[in-house]
Amino acid sequence: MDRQRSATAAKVASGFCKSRRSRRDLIKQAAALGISLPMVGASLAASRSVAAQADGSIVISLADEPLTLENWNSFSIYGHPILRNIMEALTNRDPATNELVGELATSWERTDDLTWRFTLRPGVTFHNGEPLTAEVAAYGLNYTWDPANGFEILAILGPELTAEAVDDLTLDVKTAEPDPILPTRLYFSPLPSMKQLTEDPESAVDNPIGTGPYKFVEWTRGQDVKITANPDWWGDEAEDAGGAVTIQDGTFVFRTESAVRAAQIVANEAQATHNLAPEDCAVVPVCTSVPSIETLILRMDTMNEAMKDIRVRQAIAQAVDVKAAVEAVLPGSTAATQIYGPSALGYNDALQPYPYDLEAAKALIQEAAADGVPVDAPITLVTTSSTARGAELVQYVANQLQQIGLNASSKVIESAEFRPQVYGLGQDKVPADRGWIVLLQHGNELMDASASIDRYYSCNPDSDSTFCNPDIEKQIEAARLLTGEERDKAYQELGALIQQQYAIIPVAHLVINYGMVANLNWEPRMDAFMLLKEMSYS
Amino acid sequence: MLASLIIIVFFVTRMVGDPVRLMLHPNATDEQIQTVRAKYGLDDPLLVQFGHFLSGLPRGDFGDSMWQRAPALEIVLNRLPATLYLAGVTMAIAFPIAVALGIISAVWPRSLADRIVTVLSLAGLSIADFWLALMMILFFAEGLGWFPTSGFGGAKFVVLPALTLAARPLGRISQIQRTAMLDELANGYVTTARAKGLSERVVVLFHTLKNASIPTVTMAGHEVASLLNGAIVIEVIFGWPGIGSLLIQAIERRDLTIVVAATVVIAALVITVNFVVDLIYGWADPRVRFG
Amino acid sequence: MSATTDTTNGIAREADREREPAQRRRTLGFTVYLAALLNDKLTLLAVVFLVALGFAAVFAPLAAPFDPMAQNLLLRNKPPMTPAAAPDALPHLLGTDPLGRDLLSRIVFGARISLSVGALSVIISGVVGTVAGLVAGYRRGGVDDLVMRVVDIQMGFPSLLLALLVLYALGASIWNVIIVLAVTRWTIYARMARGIVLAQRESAFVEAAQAIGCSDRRILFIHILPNMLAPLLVLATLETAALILSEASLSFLGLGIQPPDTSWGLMLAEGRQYLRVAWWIVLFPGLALLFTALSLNLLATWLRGVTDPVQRWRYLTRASKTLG
Repeated sequence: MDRQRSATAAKVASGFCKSRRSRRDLIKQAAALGISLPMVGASLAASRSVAAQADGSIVISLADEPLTLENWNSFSIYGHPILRNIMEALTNRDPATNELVGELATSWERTDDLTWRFTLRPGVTFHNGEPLTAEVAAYGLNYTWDPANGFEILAILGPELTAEAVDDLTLDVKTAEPDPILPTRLYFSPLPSMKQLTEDPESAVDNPIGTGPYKFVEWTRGQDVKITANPDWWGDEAEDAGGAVTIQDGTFVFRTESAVRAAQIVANEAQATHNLAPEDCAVVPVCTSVPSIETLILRMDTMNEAMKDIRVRQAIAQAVDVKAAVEAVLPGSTAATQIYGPSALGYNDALQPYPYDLEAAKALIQEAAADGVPVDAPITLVTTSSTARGAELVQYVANQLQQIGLNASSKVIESAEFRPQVYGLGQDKVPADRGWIVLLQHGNELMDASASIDRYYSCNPDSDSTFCNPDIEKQIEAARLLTGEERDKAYQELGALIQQQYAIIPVAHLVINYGMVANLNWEPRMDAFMLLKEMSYS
Repeated sequence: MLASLIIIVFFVTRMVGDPVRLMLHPNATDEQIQTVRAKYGLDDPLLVQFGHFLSGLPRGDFGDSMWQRAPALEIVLNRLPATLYLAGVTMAIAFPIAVALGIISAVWPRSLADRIVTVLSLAGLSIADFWLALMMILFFAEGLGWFPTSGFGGAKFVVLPALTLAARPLGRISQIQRTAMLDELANGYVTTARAKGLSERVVVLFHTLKNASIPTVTMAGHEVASLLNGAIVIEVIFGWPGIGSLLIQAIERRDLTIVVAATVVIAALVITVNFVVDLIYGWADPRVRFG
Repeated sequence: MSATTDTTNGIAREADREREPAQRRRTLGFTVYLAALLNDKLTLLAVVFLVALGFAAVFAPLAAPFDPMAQNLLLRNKPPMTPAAAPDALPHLLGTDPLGRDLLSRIVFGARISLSVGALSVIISGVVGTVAGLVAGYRRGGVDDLVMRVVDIQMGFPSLLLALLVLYALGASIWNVIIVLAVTRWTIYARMARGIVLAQRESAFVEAAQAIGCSDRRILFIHILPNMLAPLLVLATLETAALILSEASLSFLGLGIQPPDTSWGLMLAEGRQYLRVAWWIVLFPGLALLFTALSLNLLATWLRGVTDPVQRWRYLTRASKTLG
């Protein structure tokens, strides 16, 4: 029955490429039979009966060890693969449809422009015995998002928020400015225990306490994090738990080298891993490639004297054969036309990639040069060592730009140097003579175009944008406040408009390769969570 | 001496960069950055920071790790046993084999055996360690399945990282052993012993080996010391929970207190090892003992 | 090398030897060594390899069959002997890398940087260390204390860690790598030079030179330094091999040579992700590194033997027989 669930899931996310033949056949059958969403609930209800006799264990190999297990400082690829087994948020995403579904909230509504009201799930308790009430939830959210704390999670931009309890199970979250996608943002923010935060907030570093299907056991630094099934999990009795506990114990280990992680799967030392290089994908028994929320982009310093000129930017965009480069260097990933993927609300299907045309690009440069644009100003392709295939791609692009007559070079800098020079500068603080084109990985965690556009195309001096156009800025501000169909349409139009500005070259929507042993039933998610409740052995 | 080292490490790490910018999200305002700086005393003038640092030292207090919120020294000492264990096993593999190889090539100098030993031991010195590590994993763990690929646990886990690390000391020590034995064999007393009709085996084992062991032990000591700091790359690849992997993570995230504490602990160990080597040297060589 | 250092003062009639015309001694020595080298096939092979490599590195643009930077995405990760894109060009003898660049040409150009990093950092650390050791050993007293204190402190400091910290602070570039490697290794030369000077200070020829009023500088550089050239050379050869490997380790950690420049270490580090699909990308630079370091180590072993008064007969007897 579990197979059916996963088959349905796979059917919906039809972009997934997989190497397990039998499953592919199953998908076809499932599609033919027209199995649809109601089946998911049925199969979950059935699989829940298995939960009582959960046994067995799993070792999951991750690329990086988190420095802390506080969810507000350790999320995305670092913290969430572990933490989301222990902690839960108000909302979650259905892994199959990618729709927002309730987790610790059973329903939510917008009561006015600035307020969202959530109804909490009754009967939920934290691992330390504290019951989940609106007061507890409000305290946790306020702690997590308090600007005075300056936690890393604030990078997921949005207006300031404050939460308050209305009654025992009703929670109001107010924002400083209208925020139509607040429930989506909160999906990224698991709820901590108020008791823990008031008694000993520092203990959250290495003792995360949540409401999730697994309890934290221990963290041996440098070695592993252990979790075990939570016998009191609310989901054991609920219809909409989004999974079932069939594996008793989980251990997360950390190996930086993709080749080593693949070797662990081959040797059955670990049963699942993430972020395999495409080359290592072929050796593990099962490798599932999942589209991710990460997009690789080339961001130009548009205040640079050469790149200020739109013809120079257009020439740069046309000199890069994005499609060929992605096929060669990032097999499995798809060439991008926008800086957010098809999963994001506001994605425009109609857009085409910039045409690759070296001759036209050369002509544009000559035209600009004739008008006195200093096209010989140095341009540097910059990336950091953690960017997927970054060193190769910047060398490729620099080589292409040299061919159209630009003075281009490339360099790879260490991430601690990269971050302060690339993020949070806005257009004001970037030196005009810098001339960087930065290859960076942008994650649209909220799956909403606004998150990307606010960050990379706005005039806001605190954003990561190196582009500013007052006319476009007005449209951005207008679109931000819309909802539903209108919002989708507004962002699609914006997407077409900003493409003509050539400020950023979208390169690739990255796939993430998950390796696993043959008898593990698991459909990895787009958001990089690795949830044990979605895994089972056959 | 350790004191001057501590001072240098302190100032070098302060040069490395601003840890607070890395701790906060990239769009943090200057106010937020200031708040966190103040929390960790990083807004004080450098000399004041140094004063705080010095006053904590006698209690072994290097300050708390910014990321782990625990005393840095404690975190480092937790990782120490794994590093020592790996170094110990490495030397337990490398030392006897190296001495045996050195003896073989010294007893039959310029023979085929000597040639093979020389080339092999020099190859051990000449190979890039991270490359060897990956090859070991692919061949012995993934291919043959004899050992676990990586990680920390029972005796099986230490084999591959220790073998990888052993290549270098093996080459070094066997070469030194060979040279030292050759020097001893050329000495007058060996000729006398041979003239007295003692068998070659007795000459080798009882007369020369002890004297030749002095430079060998010295070199072994230096190799132990360099293992303590050179295992960084190997620890990272094998996921070995030692000081090396801790250090790399700490440097990348600019967790300065840990960098300082780890450096000082390693330096203290290196100094101790060198001191012990000097003691052994003095005990084994009568000329030093009575001189 | 410690075995060789104390033995030089045992040679009788040093003053006579000093009076011998330097020119004659050098040519005689050279012939003997050359004959000894010709006799030692393995070392000869190593020397031939190093010389050929040196030539290839110096004349890299001529030696390399392709432009090492010329990319072609269609020729990504192609195995050895793949025909080149141009119809009448040589095939890619050792295959191509992930950007379709010719691997052989990159190895040849990589040799330039790998060898320069090794050689330059050895020269800098050797000169600095030797001078410091010479002065410390000769002057004794305060200077000696100061130098040896610094040496002791630095010897306690883990060298790879020191390199890492400095490179994180300064940023990675070829010159920073060279300087960092030099800074971490000068102490070895200082210790050795000081040891030799201490032994030689008391010897007859130095006393004689002092008696006839030679200046300190002259005594140090004309009389003492030549006597430590042999052990210095051995040490420098060993260190070159070690430093080429250190650069590889730094490149693995992302702090060594930065693309688009390339060194063997960087090629190894970058190629490791293709270990399973394109073995040649890692194998050939790895072999270049291994053979170079091995040749240097073999040469050092031979040099040590041939210049060591106790051991040299083993190397020279057969050679003098061939000389007649």
